[in-house]
Amino acid sequence: MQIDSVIHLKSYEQIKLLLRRHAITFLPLIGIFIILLLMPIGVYFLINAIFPTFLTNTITYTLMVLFASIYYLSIYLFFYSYFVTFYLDLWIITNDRLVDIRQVTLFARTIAEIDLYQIQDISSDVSGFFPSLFNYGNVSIQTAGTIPKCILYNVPDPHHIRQVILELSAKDKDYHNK
Amino acid sequence: MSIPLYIFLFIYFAFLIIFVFFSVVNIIHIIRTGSLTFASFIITTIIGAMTIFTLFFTWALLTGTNWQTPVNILNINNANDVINFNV
Repeated sequence: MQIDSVIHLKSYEQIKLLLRRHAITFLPLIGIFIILLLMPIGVYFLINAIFPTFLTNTITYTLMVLFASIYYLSIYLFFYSYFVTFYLDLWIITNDRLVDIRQVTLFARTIAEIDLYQIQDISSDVSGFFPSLFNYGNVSIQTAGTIPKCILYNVPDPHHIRQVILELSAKDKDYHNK
Repeated sequence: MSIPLYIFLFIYFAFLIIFVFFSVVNIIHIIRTGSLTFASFIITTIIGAMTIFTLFFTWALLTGTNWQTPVNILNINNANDVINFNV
């Protein structure tokens, strides 16, 4: 399925920007994932050192293998589910509107739309060591519509995005004022 | 009180059903939201490969296990046979 059909793109609409959170904000989870992958190896050596007969018993050996398998599959599943909720947070900016798709959890999703001509104020901020280094941050949008505020979290190059939205908003206002 | 070892295998299979269900839900989410990109394809492939590797490794380690072996639960003597401190 294409993104056009997800947001029901109108005939005159063009997608100008498609934004996700900066990939660098996913790195901490990859670090945690690697630590969790290595943890059973440490536990194995610890058990062998403290209880040398523990894994020679057929029953405990079988149960430990089943437990380790469940442990590994669980962390794959948590990692993958986290990736999906991370990756499905999406902001689509067209020449007519801004679509905010938020995957809150695996079974909870919110979609909000803002007409560009209703935008009143936009600000972008990059604060912190890593955001400054990798140039990512938040873009806050104030509107006169039913959704008073929308924040684009941890998007790459927020100052440029603010500029693009401002230009698109000005064009859309001109069109609506005709 | 003792139970056969295959009871734990059934518990493992029940977990696998839950695992497959949630994995399929994740994949459907990616496809239905138009997010099947190179990045999501790579992550899905890596997780899929690791899952297959883990299942194969589990199967290889447990080949030849006698699943009819009775497991004594709530028996402290059995625990003493298994846990001997290396001192």
